[in-house]
This record gives sequence, structure tokens and C-alpha cells, in this order.
Amino acid sequence: MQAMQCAQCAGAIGVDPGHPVPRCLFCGSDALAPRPELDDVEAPDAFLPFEQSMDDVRAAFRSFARSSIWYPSDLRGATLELSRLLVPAWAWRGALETHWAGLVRAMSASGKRPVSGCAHQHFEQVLVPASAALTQDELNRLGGFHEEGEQALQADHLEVPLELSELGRAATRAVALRRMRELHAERITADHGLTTVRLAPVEDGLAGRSVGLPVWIGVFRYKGRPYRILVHGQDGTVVGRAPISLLRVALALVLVLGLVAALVAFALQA
Amino acid sequence: MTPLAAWGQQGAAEMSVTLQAAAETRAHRCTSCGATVQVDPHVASTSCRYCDAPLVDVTLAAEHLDALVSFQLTDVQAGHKLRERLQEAWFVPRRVRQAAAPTSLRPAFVPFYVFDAVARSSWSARIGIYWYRTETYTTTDSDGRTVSRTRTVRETDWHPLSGTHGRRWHDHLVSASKGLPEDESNDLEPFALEQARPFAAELVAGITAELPTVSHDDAHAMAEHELSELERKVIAGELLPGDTHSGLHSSTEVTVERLRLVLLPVFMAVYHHDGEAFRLLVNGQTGRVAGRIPRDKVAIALAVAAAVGLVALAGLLVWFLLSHTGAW
Repeated sequence: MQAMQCAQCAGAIGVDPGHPVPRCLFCGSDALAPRPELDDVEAPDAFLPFEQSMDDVRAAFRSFARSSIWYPSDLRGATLELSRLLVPAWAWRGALETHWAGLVRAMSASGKRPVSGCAHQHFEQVLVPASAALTQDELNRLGGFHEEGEQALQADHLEVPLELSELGRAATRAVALRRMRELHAERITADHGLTTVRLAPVEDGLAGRSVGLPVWIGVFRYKGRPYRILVHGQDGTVVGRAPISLLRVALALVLVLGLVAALVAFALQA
Repeated sequence: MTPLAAWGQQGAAEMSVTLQAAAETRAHRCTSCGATVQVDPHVASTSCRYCDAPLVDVTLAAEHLDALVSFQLTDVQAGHKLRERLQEAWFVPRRVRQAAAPTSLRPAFVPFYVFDAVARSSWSARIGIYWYRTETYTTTDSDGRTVSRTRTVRETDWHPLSGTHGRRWHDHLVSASKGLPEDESNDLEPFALEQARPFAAELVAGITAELPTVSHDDAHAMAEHELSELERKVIAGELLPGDTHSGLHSSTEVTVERLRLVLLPVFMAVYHHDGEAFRLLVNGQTGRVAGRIPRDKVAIALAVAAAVGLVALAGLLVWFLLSHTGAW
């Protein structure tokens, strides 16, 4: 595996010398240069296979372009440069025993009363990105990955570029634990109708492993500006930012102002 | 027979053997000068009193100790920290201040039990939730008329509540040395235990390293007591809902998951004042100073007398002014 880094966006990937990558997958720049590999960060030893073809991903992008009324209509025809990329992430599993106390609405002088309890939840897969390509928010929005068909990752035989890991076990463990606590807090709050909640979680059997996630990375240009989208390599979920049509925003503004003016005029006449 | 590694100036390890077992000490032959040295049975590392060669009882240390944290400060740096602390404090005897030189500091590795444990508590308390009502009251305005006004009054809605709490506690320290009581050692904390390394004779050579004199059972009881107190604080501060609370009762069960014995770096200095010995400690990693600082009783008495005198003088002055201006 040859480690390469983009001089423009600092994105770093590992590629098989037999499958060279001409441009940076993250920003499209051709300023890619070899760099030494970091030995102190644990690289994935397995990866999950892609299940979405390039045609599937293009169709998913067209659906994404139609998903908001604020996106320009010609976005659907934008030229999308797509590449497959294995994004390193840590998959954590474990259980939480969460002791909690909070307030619920009640027929009391204050309108509230205190409640408490203890809840258990097992987490099968909490993913934490180990690189810069994918933020935690983007990974949460992409959703989970099933682990059927998982294959051993051979660094000397990479068919798909692998983004280089930047975070190790200890750093991602803390993030995973925080994520588990957030998820458990959401569930406890919803289950008990709490208006406020305080938690004391005890984690048990926390175990993590580094794995390469199958992600299509797409770069397109719209009116000269580059945009990047990520597509889940298994179910085609699209996550990314798209340009906003100023014409549509202006039309909506005019429409709202017109409606307000009409209502004011009607009220004055009445 | 206890093997004893003598770490010479060239760093070469040599072995000597125990010559005889005494009731209170172990006798070792120093391989550097050949002298027979009596060593305290609770000391794993010391120096030959005849030639100052470092002596480390490797077998004894390996039997008891899991890891150690090395000194991050030199004795000069620790001396500066100690002097700073003494400069900040009031009424420190001059002799003690002057004696706080780096040469008066003795480095030592002190054994600590390190607990990783899960504490689970049951608690009950009264939870107060604030609410506000508007009340009308009558008062007299500036013109002397009786007027009616409103004000917002805070009330507390009290509810009984009970529940549970749990927390995983990492690296909770309990002194394993009878010479360093727990309350004194708590003042020295924290130590960065992530820097702990497996015990190796060359890491303690030339520095006194004590072996544990507090039993596992006593340390466990102390850890339970301290964790119960910590749990109570955390329940009050981080778990109880509402705006206020009262009558908190908690009981805690501690499950120890891992126990290690680690040597931690401490500088010690002993000062004598008014026939009493005072010990000051410096954390060999962070420079934090702990211990009871001796105070100069004469200086305190003089300061109190001066303060009383000043107050009396001010009183006299006020009385004089008032009596001569005809106010009285």
C-alpha cells in the first residue's frame, strides 16, 4: 500500500500501486504526493463490501437533487465524479446500565414531579469515524452498515483506496461511549416522557474494532464551486451539501411578502 | 535468601545475598564495598550507608509491586515549589522558610493501591422544585398613602424520591504506606497514572522505595469509605433532579475489578519547630505541595496584639474627636 496525501485539502489515502488514483478523492485536486504511513494508529483489518453500483449511486444522487425545493433544477444534470472509498471507522459494541432521575409533568403545585429508574441497553454497532473524510454527524446520517460478507483487508492488495486512519482505539472509545450515552438518554426520555433527565451510566463489555466502511464519494461542480457528497455503499443513502437556488429563494420571499401584504390590506379594510 | 541487586555507578547489576534474618531488619552484603547493611523489611530500594551504592531487592519488589511512576521534577524544582508555597503562607517561622532548600528534600517512592471499581448506590432524598406565585400586599407609599401592590414569591414543591446510582471509578488511589496517612496523601493527588511503567530495578536505583505496610483489607475498606463519600457527592451534584434537595441518604456497594500496587514519586521534608516535627510533601510529578505548615506562635500573638492595639487606638481617636467637637 502506498500512502498519498493531498497538498490542498490534506486528505490522505492508501492505494495499491496497481490501482493508482489520479486526483484527490476529497477535493478533486491533482496535488497528490506520497507520504509516510503512520505506524501508531491501528489500521482496519477488515472491510465491508460495496453493494451499490455506480448506476445505483447516480440514481440516488438524482433523487437527492430532487429532495429539496431549494435545490436548483439543473442540479440533477450535474456531472458527478464518483469514486469508491473505504472509510476507516471504529465499530464499538457494549452495554450501558444507566441510572437516571428526572422530572415529568404532573398535577402538582409546580406542575412537575421527580421520577427515577435504571435502564439497560445493549449496543451492537456504534460507529466512530477514524479519519477526516467523514464527520460523526455525517456517519450518523448515513446510518448503520451490516457486516455480512465482511472480508479481511490486505494492505498489499487494495482494489479500493483506503482512507488513512487518524484516530486510534482510545480516542474513538471515548466518542463511542458519549454516543451510547446520548442514544440511551434519548430513549429513556422518550420512554418516560421526561422534561429533564440526569444520567449515571455504567458501561460494560465495551469492545471496538477498526473496519473499512464502503462509501462512494462524489465531487461535483456547480457554477464553479466544488461540492462533495457521500453515498452509503450498501443502501445508497446520500449525505452531503448541495447548492441552494437563489432564484427559488427570492421567489419564495416575494410570495411570502405578497401574502403578508395582502393579509395586512385585508385587515385594514376590515 | 533474598537476592539483592546493587546498581553500581557504571549501572552494572551485581547480586549479593542475605546473610542473616533479624527480627526487624534484613541483613544484606553490599557488593560495592562489601559492608553488611541492615535494611528495613518494608523497603525495596535504598542505599548502602557506607558507600552510598544503590541497593534494590529485586525479588521482594517483583513480589509486591506492579508499576511505578517516575519523578518528573528534580529536587531543585521541587525545592522551588516548596519555597513558593511557604512564601505564600502567613506566619511561617523564618528558620523553616530558610531551611526549605532542595537539599532538605528527600525523594522516595511511596506505594499506593490503585483501584478500578464499580460503585452502585441506593439513595433517598426530598426533591424540591421551585414554582412562583404572585401575591398582593399593601404598603405605604412616599406620600403616606396605603397602596396595594403585587410581588412574585418563590415557593418550593417538595417530593420524596428514591433511586439508584452507578459509576465506574478508575485509578482511585489509597496510600499503602502507614507512614503517609490517607488524608495527607489525598492532598498530594492527582498523579498521572497513564505514565506508570512496569517495575524495573534501574528505575528506582538510589531512591528509597517503600513496600506496602497497609494490608489489602484495610486499603479495601478505605477505598469503600472514600468511594461511598464520592458517590454521595456525585448523587447530590450530578443526579438528583429539581432545583434543590434535602435529607439525602445513600448506601454504596463497591465491586473491585482491578487492584494494582504502584510506586508514586514523592519528595519529603521534615522540619522541627517548638519541639514538634512537621512534614511537608511535594508531588514528584506535578509539584503540588501537601502537609501541615508550621506557624510561628509568637508572630501570630504579636499580630493579634497589634490588631487589637490598632482597634483600641482607632476607638480612642473617635472618642477624642467626638468629645472635643461637642457631639457628646
